[in-house]
Amino acid sequence: MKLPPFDYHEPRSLDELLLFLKQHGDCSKILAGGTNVIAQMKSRRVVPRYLINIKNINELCGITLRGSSLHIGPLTTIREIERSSIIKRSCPLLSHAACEVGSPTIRNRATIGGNLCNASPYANLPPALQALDAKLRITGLEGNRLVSISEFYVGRRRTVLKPTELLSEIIIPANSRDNISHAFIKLPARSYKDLASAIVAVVVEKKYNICSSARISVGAVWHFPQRAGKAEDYLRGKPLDYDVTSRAAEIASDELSYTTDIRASAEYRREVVRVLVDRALKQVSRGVGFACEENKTQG
Amino acid sequence: MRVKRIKLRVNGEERQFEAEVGLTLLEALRDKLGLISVKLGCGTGGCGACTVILNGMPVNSCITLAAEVDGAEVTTVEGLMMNGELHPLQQAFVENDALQCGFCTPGMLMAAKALLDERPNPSMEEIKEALSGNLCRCGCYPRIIRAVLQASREITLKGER
Repeated sequence: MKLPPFDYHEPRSLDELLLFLKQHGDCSKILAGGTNVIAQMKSRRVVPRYLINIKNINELCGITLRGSSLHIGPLTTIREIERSSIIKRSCPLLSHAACEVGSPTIRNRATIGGNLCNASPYANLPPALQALDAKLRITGLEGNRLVSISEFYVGRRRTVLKPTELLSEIIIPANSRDNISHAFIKLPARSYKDLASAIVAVVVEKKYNICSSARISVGAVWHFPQRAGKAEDYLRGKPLDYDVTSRAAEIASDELSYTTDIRASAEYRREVVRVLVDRALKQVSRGVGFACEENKTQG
Repeated sequence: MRVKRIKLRVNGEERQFEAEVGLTLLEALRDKLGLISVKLGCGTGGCGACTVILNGMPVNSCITLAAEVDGAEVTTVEGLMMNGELHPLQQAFVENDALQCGFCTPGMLMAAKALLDERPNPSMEEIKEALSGNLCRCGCYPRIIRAVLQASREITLKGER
């Protein structure tokens, strides 16, 4: 399985990269972890003239807490995210989503930037980041702008990134942990990981089990992650009891869009989203915290 | 660039070669350096047959370019034997009958070695998770896990790595 011929470039700085993208962005592909792009080149799904290894650009690395927000460089590997104590403290939902990506060998190389920009409908991190209200910094020679996850995805495997632009930062509002709970459920839950048929990521702010706000993001059932806005509105101010969580799950299931593919039909996805949202909200209500290890042993 | 001169420290030895930029680490290890323990399975990072240890971490060498890991440290099965003796992992795989066709075995060994380097006394669940990216078509998983458990105990007892 030989790769198609290409020209290899290793910029040493963000400026050097942006200058190169300005000239050759339309026939280039970024090489970060390579876990998607190399496989895609082997199958000839993408055949770039230039492959740009950006791993030498230090500005794109790192996880820092600055005031009330967490700043993550796009070159941060899934492994680093999985193990980061800063992330476990401020947004454990992301740790949880990270630990269920692919396999250990994939997580050791794959990056958060690549996971976002590859725009696979089945990726774990985008729904988690959407539930966390993350903002993405898009940088080009002319400057940079911030977009939400909902604004970032504009079609199946399509983002708003222009060929001359780079995803340069992921910013997540840092939460005070006391009254915030999360749940992350990916189907299938097997000991070896396949791509998801459905993903539910939930962040709930509650006191005495009364929900003050909720963000419910569903991935892998449509071209990109979707927020269940109507279900979120329904939950506001209500106690997270059995009937409320069940009803919220029905509302979420009804309001979203679904595709049929080799893994599941739209009808199945619609029903399983209802089940998973219900399960996620009930987990939150019971106060089941960071259940990464728990989910892994289900396989 | 289209061609690069690449230096790697492989199984403790400095190696150098010139390669097209499109050469994967898998191809470099097998074809340039003669380390044929590393296997091509799916070629897309899904089966783990190509697993090697790169700078201390297990990775799929089939989706890694040799050019992008210039200067790195790599370990393959050929680097497991010490003073002519099988590594406890290799010995345990033999004693537990943890292979049939043997094709997944090098990848399993490297994933297991990386696990034991980091976590000398893993639980069965931790072993399953560490090997979750290594597929075995012959279905030897239970014996493989047993072998890794045995090796971990052996290594701990002997105090060696």
